Amino acid sequence: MFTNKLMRRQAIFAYLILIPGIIMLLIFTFYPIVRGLPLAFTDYSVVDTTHWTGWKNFKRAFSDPIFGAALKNSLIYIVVVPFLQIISILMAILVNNKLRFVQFFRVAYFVPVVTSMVAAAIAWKWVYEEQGILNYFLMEFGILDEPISFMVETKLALMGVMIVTVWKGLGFYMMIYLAGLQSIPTEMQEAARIDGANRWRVIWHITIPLLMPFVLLCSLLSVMGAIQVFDEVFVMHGSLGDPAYSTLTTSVYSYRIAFTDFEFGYSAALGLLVAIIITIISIAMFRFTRKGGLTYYE
Amino acid sequence: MTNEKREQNDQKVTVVALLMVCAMMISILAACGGGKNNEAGSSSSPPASGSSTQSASPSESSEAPKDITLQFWTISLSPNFDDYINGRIKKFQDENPGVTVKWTDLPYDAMEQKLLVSIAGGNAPDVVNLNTGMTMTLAGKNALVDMNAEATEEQRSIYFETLYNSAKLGDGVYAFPWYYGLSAFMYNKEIYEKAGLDPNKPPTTWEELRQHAVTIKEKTGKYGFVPTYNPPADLYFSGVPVISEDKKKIVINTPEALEWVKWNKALYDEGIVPKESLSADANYATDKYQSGQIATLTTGAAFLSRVKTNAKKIYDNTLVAEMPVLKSGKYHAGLMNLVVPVKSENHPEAIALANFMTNDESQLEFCKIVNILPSTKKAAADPFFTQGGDDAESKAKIITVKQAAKAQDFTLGVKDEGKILEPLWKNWQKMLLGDITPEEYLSQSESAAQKILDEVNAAK
Repeated sequence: MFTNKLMRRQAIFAYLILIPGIIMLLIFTFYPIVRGLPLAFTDYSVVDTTHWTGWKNFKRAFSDPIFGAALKNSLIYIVVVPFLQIISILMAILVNNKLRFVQFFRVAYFVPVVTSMVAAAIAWKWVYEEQGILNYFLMEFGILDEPISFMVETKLALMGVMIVTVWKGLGFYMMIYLAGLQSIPTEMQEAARIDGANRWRVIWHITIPLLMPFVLLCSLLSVMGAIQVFDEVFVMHGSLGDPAYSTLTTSVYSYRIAFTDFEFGYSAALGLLVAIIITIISIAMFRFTRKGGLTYYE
Repeated sequence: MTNEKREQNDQKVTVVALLMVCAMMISILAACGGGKNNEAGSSSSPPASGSSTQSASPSESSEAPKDITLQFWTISLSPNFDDYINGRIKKFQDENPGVTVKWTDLPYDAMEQKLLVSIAGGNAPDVVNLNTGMTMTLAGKNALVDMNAEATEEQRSIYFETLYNSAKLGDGVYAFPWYYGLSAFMYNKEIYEKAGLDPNKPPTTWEELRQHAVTIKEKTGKYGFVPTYNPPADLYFSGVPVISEDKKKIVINTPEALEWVKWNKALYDEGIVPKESLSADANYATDKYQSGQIATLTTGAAFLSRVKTNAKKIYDNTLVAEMPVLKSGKYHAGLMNLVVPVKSENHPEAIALANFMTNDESQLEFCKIVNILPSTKKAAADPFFTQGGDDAESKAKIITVKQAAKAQDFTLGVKDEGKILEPLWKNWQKMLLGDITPEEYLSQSESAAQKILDEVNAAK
């Protein structure tokens, strides 16, 4: 009886705490999603009369070469995920040590996360330009004979933006991994060390397997982030994904379709398609790894 | 009937959803610069604003004055021109008792989104400042008032005809032209001297400019200039028709076009211009010029004031000359317009305000505080434009006014112009990067643009 009462009180308390978040989600996420769905089947343009167009927007998407290019770039963008995860795990292990000034390093690695993406992207533009710092160093060290612009070479431009994404995201994932590292029991690592395992073997065979739930969470987050990348592309290469669509991603493209071409219906259809792709990838990731979320492997 | 009802319902539903998406989008873009909402007269002196309270006056209220509030939106004019705009608004309000004008200034990037959100929310502004591209897009969506139909002959007659017709779509004209800027040729005297060139002999043709740039690169290692490409307009001003008279055929694959494209391709390949000129805009060019990395600046003369503020030393070393002209002998005028959205509830008053803000007196006063040119005949004839001091800005003013007789904005005059011209922009980059040849550029862009034009014409 007592436990029931306590449990009930706890449950009420829990719901109370959950309510504000749920309300925000309902208003700003679920409601627009549900109401936005029908948009994809119309030619809604805000100012002109709207007509029901059925599957026309979707058919158009499948034969739209620019959307194809954007989708390809968005999928290529997933390449950032392993880099992001591996480097941030290593960074987390590094700052998890009892080093001197470790607090400083933690903060330093976190600074890019709290920097405005717009400001950072503009600064990176200067780094990449033909007369930028990167070229200066590459020429100084004799790696390049002639400066190249990392902004306008079609083969390098997207990679340049990906580096910005990695740079900006590292600190965030490092923090999650750091929390993970501090939550895993240290006995196993100690036992392994007593058995004569060296540092790398401990990391590889003990730490990383124990971190696996966090790796899954972070990978999923970064895959979704990668497919939806917007800010850095938009600021560095504009709404057309300069040069020659080589940096255009699906988010930027559907933004442009909506807000410069006024084709909200088509834009909604594109958004829906991308959402479906993300869902499929996420389910595949869960399936592939069998378990997901924050459960430990036993 | 039921269909109509469903349509209306759908629209309501979508409007709400869209508003939320827009709110989120705008919050992302808010970092680019905040909008500013200025109540007219708020910065004028207290006695003046005190005397202009209309509703408090009993004599006026007994005559049942109209009580209208007009929303007036501009692009990036605050805070630099607060006094000017507020002063004009006050005069308009004095001349039109019962009409209150609420002025809102928005950053360039935020204008389209904000406007859409407002129209969708049933809260459309009455007078809006748009460039010709945005004007034509919205006009194509039937969102703007046709001035030929609703404005009076007296209101329309004050503008230069060519500029007034910039916003022409079919038989309608969807804006009053406001101000425009022209490019002037601005160059760094010091770099010219270092390169062994005579600063008193600026280039008069693009080919001469190219030769100067080669010399400058050789002697100083700096770039001579940054072309800020606008392929459709560049082609048009090189004497390419771009679109046929009957607006049914895209015409860009001509010998003049090929010559211009090849010339640019060589410029890029030979490294005479920076690689980034591929996607450079006036901001990029100005940044490079004011940091002394580039010898000349070939953008709008209004950018000179930025050089003056940011790099006084470079500004003092700046000489100004007439812009080399393209084959057509005409200059591209980047025009700003005032439009009245159809959804505005006060068409006559809104048109009157748009006309007032763009009339001779308003424009002349505006031109006196910033280097822009007026779109009205009488204002342009004012002696102010032929007098000036010795500094670069005054010279730029006199030079651009001289060029004004040869100025014209460029539009296709068809719906969805931006979409139709997009292949010309995108293939331009591919061509410069060597993915396609200049010949392929013209043939591919022509057929791609033609395809979109056909779709647009078919959808009519």
